[in-house]
Amino acid sequence: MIDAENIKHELKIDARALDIPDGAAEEFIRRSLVDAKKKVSDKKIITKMDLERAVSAELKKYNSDLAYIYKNRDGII
Amino acid sequence: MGIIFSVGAFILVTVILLLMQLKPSLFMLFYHSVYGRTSKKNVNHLSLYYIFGAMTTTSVLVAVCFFLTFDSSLIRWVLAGLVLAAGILFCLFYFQRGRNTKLFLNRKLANSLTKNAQSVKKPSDAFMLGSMAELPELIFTLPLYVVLALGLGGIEDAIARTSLGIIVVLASVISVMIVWGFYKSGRNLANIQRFRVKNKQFLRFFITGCYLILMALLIASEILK
Repeated sequence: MIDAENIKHELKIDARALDIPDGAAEEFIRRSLVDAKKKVSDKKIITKMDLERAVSAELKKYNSDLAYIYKNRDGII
Repeated sequence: MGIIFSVGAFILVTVILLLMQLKPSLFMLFYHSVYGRTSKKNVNHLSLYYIFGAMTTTSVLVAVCFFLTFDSSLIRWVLAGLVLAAGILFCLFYFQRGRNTKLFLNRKLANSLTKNAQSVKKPSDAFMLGSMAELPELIFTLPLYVVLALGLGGIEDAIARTSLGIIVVLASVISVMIVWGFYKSGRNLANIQRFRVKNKQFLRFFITGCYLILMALLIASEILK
């Protein structure tokens, strides 16, 4: 089961580390998750990678650095 | 040839250790995560412990190799082979493929290290993370410490030997300090990571070249004795 609350929590930490104001970050994380869920809702099976890709694409509209970190979190070490 | 080998070994080993990527990568993750959860003051305080932990492990490795290594023809030839092997392994396997800086680590270990970096709360956690950061790379760095021990052994002045040893220990954390400097100057994880991805191939070939030159130096020191 993909945990949207967990993703939200991780993104909030990332946003704070990027000095994005809390209010703004919360708003566009919420919008990105909602839009990403809509994007993947037509799939029969939604993998973690599908959701990550969709969330990253939506986040890019608001903040490219946050989207980059979210997409490449596993590619640092 | 003795002094040329000592100086050459010192320079090459220092350069390779300076450019190894696991310590700065873990530091990037640790700094970003702690800053996102606490304050800049706290993360800067914990960063000191991370650096201190890294320096402690490097010091122990330099000291152990120095006291346990003895010089002989056979040791130098074997070491030349090990340095060559480490260089080839580095070139082929250190960085994984793709537009990222994924290292050779097994994914389970990488995820475990990432989790540890992201869950640092106390100075002891930061110290442990820093001291652990050296260990997975020993396959690439242990031959270097032995070569360094041989090089330092060729210097008669004890003060010069100790000073060079200290310089190597400091050099091993310069990359971490550079990342820290980037964060302090206002850059973030995304900027730094993009920079690392852009320069990944150059770094790979440059370090491999250093390994090969070190191997050549070892062989030359034996042939021209």
